[in-house]
Amino acid sequence: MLTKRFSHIYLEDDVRNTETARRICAKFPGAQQIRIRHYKDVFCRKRQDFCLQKLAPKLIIAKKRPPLVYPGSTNCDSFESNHFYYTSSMMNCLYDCEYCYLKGMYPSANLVVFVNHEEIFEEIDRKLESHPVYLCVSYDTDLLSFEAITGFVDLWIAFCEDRPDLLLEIRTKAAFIRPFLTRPPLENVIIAWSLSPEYVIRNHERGTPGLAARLKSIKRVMELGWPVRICIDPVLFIDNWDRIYQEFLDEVFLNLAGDQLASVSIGAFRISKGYLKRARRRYPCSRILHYPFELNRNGVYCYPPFLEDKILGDLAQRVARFVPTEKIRLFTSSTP
Amino acid sequence: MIFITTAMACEAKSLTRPLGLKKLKEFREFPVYEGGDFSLVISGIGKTACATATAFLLTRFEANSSDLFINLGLCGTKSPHLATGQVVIANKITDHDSGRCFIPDMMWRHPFQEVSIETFSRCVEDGWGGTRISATCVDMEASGAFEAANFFLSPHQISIVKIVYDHLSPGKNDQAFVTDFLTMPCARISTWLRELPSGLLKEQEPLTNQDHELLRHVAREMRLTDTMSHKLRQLAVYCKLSGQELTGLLNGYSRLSCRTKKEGKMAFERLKKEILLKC
Ligand code: SF4
Repeated sequence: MLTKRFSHIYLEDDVRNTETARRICAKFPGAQQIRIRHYKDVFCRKRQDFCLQKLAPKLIIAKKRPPLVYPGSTNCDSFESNHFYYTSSMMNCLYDCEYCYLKGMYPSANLVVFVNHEEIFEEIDRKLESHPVYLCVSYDTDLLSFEAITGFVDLWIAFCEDRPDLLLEIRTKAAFIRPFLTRPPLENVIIAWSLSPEYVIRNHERGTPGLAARLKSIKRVMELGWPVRICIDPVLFIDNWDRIYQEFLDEVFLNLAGDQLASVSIGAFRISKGYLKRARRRYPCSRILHYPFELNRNGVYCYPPFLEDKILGDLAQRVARFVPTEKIRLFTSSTP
Repeated sequence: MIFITTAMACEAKSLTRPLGLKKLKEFREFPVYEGGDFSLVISGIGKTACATATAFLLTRFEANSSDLFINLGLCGTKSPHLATGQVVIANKITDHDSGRCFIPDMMWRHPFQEVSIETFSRCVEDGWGGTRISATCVDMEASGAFEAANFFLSPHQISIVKIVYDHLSPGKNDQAFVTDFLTMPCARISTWLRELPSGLLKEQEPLTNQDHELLRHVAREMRLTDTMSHKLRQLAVYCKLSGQELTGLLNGYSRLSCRTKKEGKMAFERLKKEILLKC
């Protein structure tokens, strides 16, 4: 009885006639188009059912208003850049990972696509006038998963071509790699691939490509010369985690040359207090979310320190068999 | 449960019959009908009356997150593409007076044409006061129904379904004519209503009332603070989601009668360890 995914497209008056909006709408020929004044009229309605929306999300095409670029969060790895920023060309994600913090962050599971990327580009150029910039563009979403619809990754890569002071990170779980096949590789575009054991993917990362598909894409992209970071993040404390993660690492490094990776980052599951509270309310039966986490002094819920240390320590040691230690970055819940 | 509001008795009649609804005697404020999974109220004309009746119905019948709400009635349209008797469903409702927009969550498949609806406080006829109509259809109740229903229900639980009655020209207002006119469209609507999920399924909380009772008892025995009691509840949830037997585990702690908070804290740490080890 549920409608199909993207059966409805909500279009902000400000952008509905833009070329990008039209191009995206053309991908959904059967969708109902509804004009709205502001994306929040749909996205921030009261009493929305996040879980139901996640099953059949709608698309909202909107204009991003300032701030267009945000300073990076301390909960995430900024890779020692002093000028770490992120921007969201989209809100929400096509995928449905059980542990995702977006489940507690937004009032709606509908996807918002901001189509005024030129304004974001201009903002980045202004920042580049005064200092180099490390920019995450796949924040609060998985940009590559929606690339066939938006083409945004391709636009970002083109933007990076003549801006060596811009270091771009595209974080993804997707296996879609067309934007990397059609251009020569760039040193200043890092593709940060999140990997999980197949067991975790099948049970807790609904809609994402399997491990084999991700590895195949990574391998291809690395062969072409693109810098790739592997993110084993979040590591989940699941039954038999020791064996499951060991087999996972074996499979990863059977396929990928560890020494040719730009880096490997490992982080245990962590989530801010407010997001966890809301995500738990929405998903009362998620064992992953209902683990009795401990609140650290930064207001972040994480596994108890002894467990987090064990998980990260063990994994780091195992990864070190394949990857030079200076390329391994551990991210704990107490990393400032 | 599916709750329905209509403005006029002649509109209601076309639904009460196919759905087999019977009038309830106990309500004096509004005529209310009930049968099977359906309850229907006749509000009277206008958005205020409709909002009041909606609130009345949803409160009296204790609507909850598993229910649905439908506002059903006649509408007019300027669109030559819509025929009289055509059933339409609103994907956007604008209140003409306030300019406010209401957007239902279109989660349910339906066989009807989707339109925008603008709710006016007065009957709209062509050229009426030179008013600009921004939506495809016009009516006199939708915004009131939606706004009131949204206090109780989520936007995916609310549907505004209308039948095109005229093209903003003064039409026949004879009650019998309206009932007759609505027979066919309402038959289609009844079929759709019967296909709607009558009880939306929600993930059930893992702790039962009995579990909560036991947890309160254990917390008292252990002299736990509010924060620790909360942590205990969280542990219990995790324990149940891990498929472990909670009652047996807690029973060992239900007759502790800790004398001091310190003693209770130690017992709590023991219990926590035990649960984490098992799960
Ligand atoms: S891919 Fe990332 S952003 Fe998307 S649901 Fe999974 S964790 Fe969330």
